[in-house]
Amino acid sequence: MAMQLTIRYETLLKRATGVATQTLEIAEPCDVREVVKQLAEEVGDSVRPMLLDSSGQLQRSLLLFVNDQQIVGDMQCTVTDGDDVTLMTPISGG
Amino acid sequence: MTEHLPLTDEERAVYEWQIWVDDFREAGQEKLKGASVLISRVGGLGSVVAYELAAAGVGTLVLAHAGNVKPSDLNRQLLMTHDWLGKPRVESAARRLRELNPRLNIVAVGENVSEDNAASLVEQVDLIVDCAPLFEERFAMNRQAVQQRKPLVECAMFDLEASITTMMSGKTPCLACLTPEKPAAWTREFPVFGAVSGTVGCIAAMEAIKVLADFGQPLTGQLLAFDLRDMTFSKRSISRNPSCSVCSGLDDSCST
Repeated sequence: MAMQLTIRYETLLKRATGVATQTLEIAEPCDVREVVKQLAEEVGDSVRPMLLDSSGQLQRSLLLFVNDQQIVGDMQCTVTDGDDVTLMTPISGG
Repeated sequence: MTEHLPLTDEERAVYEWQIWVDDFREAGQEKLKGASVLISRVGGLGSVVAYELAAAGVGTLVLAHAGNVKPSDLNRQLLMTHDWLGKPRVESAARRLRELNPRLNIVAVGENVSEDNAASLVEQVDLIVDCAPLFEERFAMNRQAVQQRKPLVECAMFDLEASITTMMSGKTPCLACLTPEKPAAWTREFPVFGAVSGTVGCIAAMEAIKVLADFGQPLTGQLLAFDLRDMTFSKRSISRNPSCSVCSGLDDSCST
């Protein structure tokens, strides 16, 4: 049976995608970075560069959370059915 | 961390309502009187941070902000006024803060934080509140905060969203752990309401007060993110990056 994740977009990503949340089906548990790459295939050309760099790797500036825990550097994190993945572009003051 | 300075009778009268806070009391007020805070830019965020810290009785505020007041500042930069258009922002801020609190010691610097002045600005204070829009100046300030082991309250906003965390050098993530590089999509000017920068500015001021007076639980190792469009508030755990280019060499525990 397919597994379902909740994807949350915040800040510039929310504005660019036009949605706050979506569900994503995955076939089996996988590393959260694979989830982001799967999303990058769906979001369209204007949003994809906010997720992936020109070599297809996650943007270093992207803030990534699984169940409200940040995933940084080379930290591994396998996501599975019911997990919550939040993607956020850093923001500033002004 | 901060020096205790005895209160005068006038100060006891002014700060009476907050001295009634059980875990703050007069000892907390004495710590605020002896404390100094750098506010990097007194714009939409920094105006409110400065106003609340001045009202709370922090002894010294170092304000760093370049440029003159523009019409587009006035929806959110609450220390700027219409009659000050075209005049230096930092002077407008100092003038308004002195009206509120004539006891306040203000160091007004008509420059933004940069690689050239970050070290000397950070040296002057006990704590920094980052309210700046440019990642370059935020990164310069973060490096100095980490090197000089000064607490840094990081706050930001966009549209109706905002986020804030309190960073303790060597104990929590630093800004470079959270944001190792400037996001490609970021632009210098962006949509925001003054009520959004004001909300996160008030929270930032409360974070500074808690750290300086050593009470409550600051947002250390946590990022509070909220969206005032639907009033969603989330508190998330953030982690030090073991390969962070700025703080990974520090030998404190890497856990948050």
